[in-house]
Amino acid sequence: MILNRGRFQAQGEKLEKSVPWSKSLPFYDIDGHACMDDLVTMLNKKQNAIRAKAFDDARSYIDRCSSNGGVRSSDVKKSKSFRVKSTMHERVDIEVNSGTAFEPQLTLNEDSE
Amino acid sequence: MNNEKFFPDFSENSDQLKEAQEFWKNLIFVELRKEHRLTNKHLIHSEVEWDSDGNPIYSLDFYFLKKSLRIIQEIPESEDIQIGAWFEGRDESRIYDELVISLELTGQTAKIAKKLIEAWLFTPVDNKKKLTRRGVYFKKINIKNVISHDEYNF
Repeated sequence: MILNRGRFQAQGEKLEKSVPWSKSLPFYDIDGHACMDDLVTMLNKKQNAIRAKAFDDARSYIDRCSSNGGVRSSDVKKSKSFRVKSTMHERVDIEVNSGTAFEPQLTLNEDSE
Repeated sequence: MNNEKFFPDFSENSDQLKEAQEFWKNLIFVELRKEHRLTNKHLIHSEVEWDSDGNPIYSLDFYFLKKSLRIIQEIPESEDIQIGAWFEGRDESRIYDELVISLELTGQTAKIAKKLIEAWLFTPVDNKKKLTRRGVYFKKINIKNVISHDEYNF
C-alpha cells in the first residue's frame, strides 16, 4: 500500500513549526488546507502576520495541484518554499515526501441523483 | 546599483523561463567553473529540476561536492532588493545539505547570489567538523558573512 506522506512548515530566524501528515487514503486538497490551518494556529499573531502572503501563496499552490488532479512526490522532490519578502529566511514550506497529495475532493453531482 | 529586473515575465513566457534557467547554468557551469578552474568531475550533478512557476527555477545535487543547490525565482513585485537564503539539512528528501536562494532576479541580486553559491559550493570544509556537527559546517558559510553589510541591510 502506498503511504501518502509529507509536512507543512513555518520556518525562520527564531521559528521552526511543523505539521506532518501521513495517510494511506488519498490526501485531498481540503486536508492540505486543514493542515495549513493547524500550522497557522501554532504561530503567534506577529509570525502569522508577516507570513500572510506566504500562506496565501502556499494555499494557491495546493489549489493549483488540486486542479491538476494532485501532485506526486516525484514532482516535488524537495520542498516548495514561499519566502516572506524583505526577510532573509522567514518562510512557509510544503513537502510531499511519499505518494501523492492535494487530490481534488470529489463531490456528488446533484443532477445525477 | 543595477536593480533592473531580469526575465520578469518568466512565469508566463516560456522563452524567458528558458533564458532564466540558462542564466543560472551559465553562472555555475561557465563563470564559476572558469574562475575556480574546475573540471567536469567537480561539477558532476543530477538532472536539473525546475517548475514553470520558478519555484524552483534551478535545483540540482552535486555528486562530487556532495552539496545541493536550489534557486527560487520570485515573481517581481517590488522596487526593493529582494533576496533571501537559507540552508536545509540532509533528510529523507535531500541526499545532501542544501543552500536555497529565493530572489527577484536583478543585476544586484545576481551578484549576491553568485557570492553565496561560490561560498557554498567551493569553500573547502573540514570533513571531521562536517561529520560531527552539521551546525559547525553551516556556521562557516554564514550568509551574513558572505555578503557585505550594505548588501545584507535590505
